[in-house]
Amino acid sequence: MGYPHQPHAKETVVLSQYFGDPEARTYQGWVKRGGYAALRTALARKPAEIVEIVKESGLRGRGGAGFPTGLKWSFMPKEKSKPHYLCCNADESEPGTFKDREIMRWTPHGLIEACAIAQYAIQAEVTYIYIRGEFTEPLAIMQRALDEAYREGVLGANAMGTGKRLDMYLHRGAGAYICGEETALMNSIEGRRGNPRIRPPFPAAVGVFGMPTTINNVETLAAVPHILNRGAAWYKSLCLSNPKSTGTKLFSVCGHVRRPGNYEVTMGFPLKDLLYDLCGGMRGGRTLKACIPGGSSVPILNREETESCLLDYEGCATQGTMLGSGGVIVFDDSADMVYQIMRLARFYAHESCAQCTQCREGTAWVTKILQRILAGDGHQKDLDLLLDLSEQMTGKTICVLSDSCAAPVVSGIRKFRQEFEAYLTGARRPAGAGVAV
Amino acid sequence: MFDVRCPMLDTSLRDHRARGVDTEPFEYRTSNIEYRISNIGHRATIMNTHTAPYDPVFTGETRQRLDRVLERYPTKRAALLPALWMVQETRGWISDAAMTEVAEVLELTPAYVKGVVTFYTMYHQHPVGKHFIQVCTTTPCNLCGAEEVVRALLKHTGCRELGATSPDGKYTVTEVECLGACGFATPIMVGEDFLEGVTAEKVPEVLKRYQ
Ligand SMILES: Cc1cc2nc3c(=O)[nH]c(=O)nc-3n(C[C@H](O)[C@H](O)[C@H](O)COP(=O)(O)O)c2cc1C
Ligand code: FES
Repeated sequence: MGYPHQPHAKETVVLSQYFGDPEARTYQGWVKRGGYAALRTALARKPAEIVEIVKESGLRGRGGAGFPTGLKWSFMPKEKSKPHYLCCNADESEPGTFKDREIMRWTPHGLIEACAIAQYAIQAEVTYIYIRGEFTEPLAIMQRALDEAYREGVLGANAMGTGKRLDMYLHRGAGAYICGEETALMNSIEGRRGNPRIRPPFPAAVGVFGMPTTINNVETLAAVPHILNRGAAWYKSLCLSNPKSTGTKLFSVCGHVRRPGNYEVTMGFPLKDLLYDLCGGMRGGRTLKACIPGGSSVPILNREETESCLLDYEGCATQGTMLGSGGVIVFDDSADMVYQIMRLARFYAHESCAQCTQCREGTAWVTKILQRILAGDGHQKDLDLLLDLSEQMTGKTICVLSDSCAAPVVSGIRKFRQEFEAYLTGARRPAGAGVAV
Repeated sequence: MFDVRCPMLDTSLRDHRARGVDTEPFEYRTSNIEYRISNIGHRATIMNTHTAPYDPVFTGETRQRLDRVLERYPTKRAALLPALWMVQETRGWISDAAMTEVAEVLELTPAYVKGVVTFYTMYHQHPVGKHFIQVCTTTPCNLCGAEEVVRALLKHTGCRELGATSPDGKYTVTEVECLGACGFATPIMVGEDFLEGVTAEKVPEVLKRYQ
């Protein structure tokens, strides 16, 4: 459902069915809509069976990397010798992405049920749901739903009367994009600075509190109850293009479209239809200039690429970009690409945890050079310098924040070089716009 | 002590200064000069000194709340972020003395606690205006006029610049990075309230609610 808009005929509504329905937020309302049935069936099965079903469904991570979820779960030790943990990644801070927020706001019990199933499948007693600090409303809604779930005996020492322990806690972040990175997230739960950790060891071996841990995105987990209810084959059949990308995906569309919002479509859906049909095209009769299909960390597409891009992991790769988190940022012909790319670089400079030199220095320098170009003080060699810096920032650091900063810069220069050059040659005067430093 | 400002690195000077963030400066010493360079390029924050006796936060009901939080984690350290939130809820900001108290309660060192506080931008290390306003100006919101919202907020609150508190002490306006509501441009936070779809025109009306 294209929340906050009416559902569109081309959408495949699974996760977003109850967006905008306040009754679905309550325990009673959720049960009335068939909620917690999947958890009940899950608890009657063996954990390994659930992992198999999720593997079979083809579900892949919706947090950015697209790693097969069932496979990730299967990395957890089968023989349990120490506590296992599940972390639900609700840190959602990738510019362009606002889908997890909607899942938490409208279907908090859906997420609780999903976490409980995953937690049982990986044999964890405790789940931490890491919510970014700015999400005060989703936090309150989730807390209320958790209290209800405990009161109704869904969670606790005797979950749903099965004698199994399922505990779930919210952990509030405090304003740091990097805490969405899975190992930084674990550090943040442990009460440390949110610095990513070097891998290996991987979280399935040494995770939060040094114990085997699985980290999944909100949307990834939210799909699991539906898979259990309707079967892996059904989920697998939701596919319009490449069979390696299955199910539905929420796309958060923002920027210069007429109807921004969340849209749920089947994997492989054409990006063009999403923008022109579901979102109603560009505002004010303008034309599309560029689009970032997977959150700010992925390469920018120009108009032709956008119009031929299919929205699944492989379709995006064909166009030289990534599906990422599904945050679609749309630029029309009025957008100043140089300024907006600087603004993205500034985001990464602000959010770098400053552990790795390439990232700490690189993000800051890239921003500074872009600001210099924008101020009309750029040198001809600055574009090469930016590309060289980006090269140094890619594939060399503990996490990929640094690569994420390089992606829009490199693709931006490649595809919109004339806009950069207009500033360099003085053909374009500094706009002087913006309160940004 | 010799303060060096690293001009190439002060990209987000304003946001950081606004929140008084002091992201772990690098300190190093040569024979007679001590350098202190912060990676966001502003000068070291002067420590808050207190003459009034410190009134502890973790007593009575708050202490009990913390005890309940501690049960959720296998280590005491893990309760650090929740404990800091409690301090900020009660005091409005986190002073050095409060950090020392948190350190004692959780069996950490004050330096460790400060290291964590300075990492997270939402913890205030200085008192802020009664209404702390944060406006998202990252690319998606920027495309939709977020900077006009900032200008309107500065004008109508009487704040001279980003991060400065208005003369009546009521408002502090800052820019933030993506608030995770990009399709509802422009989102702003006023204290703990999250508002969506704010435009420059709506600013006076919004401010009326926060007097
Ligand atoms: C800098 C950075 C930021 C990230 N932010 C988020 C985030 O906000 N939310 C999220 O779910 N994943 C985020 N990720 C991805 C996580 O590291 C991790 O891959 C994901 O949570 C795994 O869940 P999934 O397999 O369900 O996608 C981020 C990764 C990086 C490198
Ligand atoms: S960019 Fe403003 S909320 Fe995401």
